[in-house]
Amino acid sequence: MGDVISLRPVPDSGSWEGGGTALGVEPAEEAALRLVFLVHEPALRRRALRLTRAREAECLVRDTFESFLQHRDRAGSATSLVVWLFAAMHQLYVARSQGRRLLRLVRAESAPPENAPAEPPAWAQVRRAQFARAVAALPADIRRVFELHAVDGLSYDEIGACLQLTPMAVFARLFRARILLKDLLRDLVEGGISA
Amino acid sequence: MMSLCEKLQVFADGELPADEEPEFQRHFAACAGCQAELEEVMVLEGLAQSLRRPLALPALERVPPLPASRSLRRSTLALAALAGVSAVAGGALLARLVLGGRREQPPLSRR
Repeated sequence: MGDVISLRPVPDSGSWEGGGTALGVEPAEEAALRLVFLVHEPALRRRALRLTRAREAECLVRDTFESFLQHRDRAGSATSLVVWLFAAMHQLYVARSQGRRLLRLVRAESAPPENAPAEPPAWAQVRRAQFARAVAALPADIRRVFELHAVDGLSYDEIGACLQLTPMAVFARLFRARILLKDLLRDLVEGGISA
Repeated sequence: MMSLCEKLQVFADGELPADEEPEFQRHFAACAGCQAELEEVMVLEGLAQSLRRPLALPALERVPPLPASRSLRRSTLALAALAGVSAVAGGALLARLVLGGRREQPPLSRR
C-alpha cells in the first residue's frame, strides 16, 4: 500500500498538486487517475462554484475526487464515471448542508458521516450515444439553451445575450429541457431501447 | 412569487440573488424534494459533459534518431575530452585563487 494521495488545489490556477500514490493504487494506475482529474475537474469546479463560494467549492471538488479514489471500483465506464462524479458531489453537498443544519439545531460536534455514494438514478445510466439521441430529440430552441448551459457552462445572462432572450426565458427553457430529458431517458432505459 | 422549492433550479444554476441564498440553503438542508431535484440537475449536467467536443491535440512529429556515424563519434569524443580538460583546469585555477588569496591577506594590524 502506498501513501494517500494528497490533492491540493493550487490557488488561482485551477490546477492541482499532489504527491505520493493513492491508498491501494499501483503506480501504473496513478497516471490513469490523474487523467480522470485532468479531464473532469473543470466541469466539476464549475458545478461546485454554482453551488457555493470559491473556497468551499475547492473543498467540494477535492472531496469529490477523494471519494472517487476510495470508491472507484463502482464508477464504471467513462460516461457513467462522470455521472458518478457529479452524483458524488451532490451527495457531499447535501451532507454538508445537513451537517450545517444539525450544527445550528443541536450544536453537534461533528457532521453526519459521509458514507459511500449511492448509485446515480437508473435513468442516468445510459451510454453517450443514448444521451446524445435524447438531446437531439429536444425542440431546437430548448436544446440550444441546454447545450449552452450544461455543456458550455454559460450563465443565464450570457445565454440570453447569445440568443436574444431574457434570463427568465432562459430559465424557463432550461427547466423544460431538464423535464423532457428525464422523460426521454426514462423511456430509453425502461423501454430497453439501445443506441 | 416563487416558492422556495421552485427556486431550486435557479439556485442550482448559481443564479439565485445573494440575499436569498441563506434562506434557501436553510430550506434545502431540510427538504428532501429539493435535494432529489438537485441530484437530477447535477446528473444531467454530468451526462452533458459527454457531449463536449474532444480536445484536438496537434499531431506530434516523430524526430528521427541521429545517425551513429564515425565522424560524429569522433566529434563527440573530442568534445568530451575538451570538457574534461576544462574541468581540471578550472578546478586548478579556482584552487589557486582560493589558496593564493589566503596567503596574500595583509596582517590585521601594522602597529
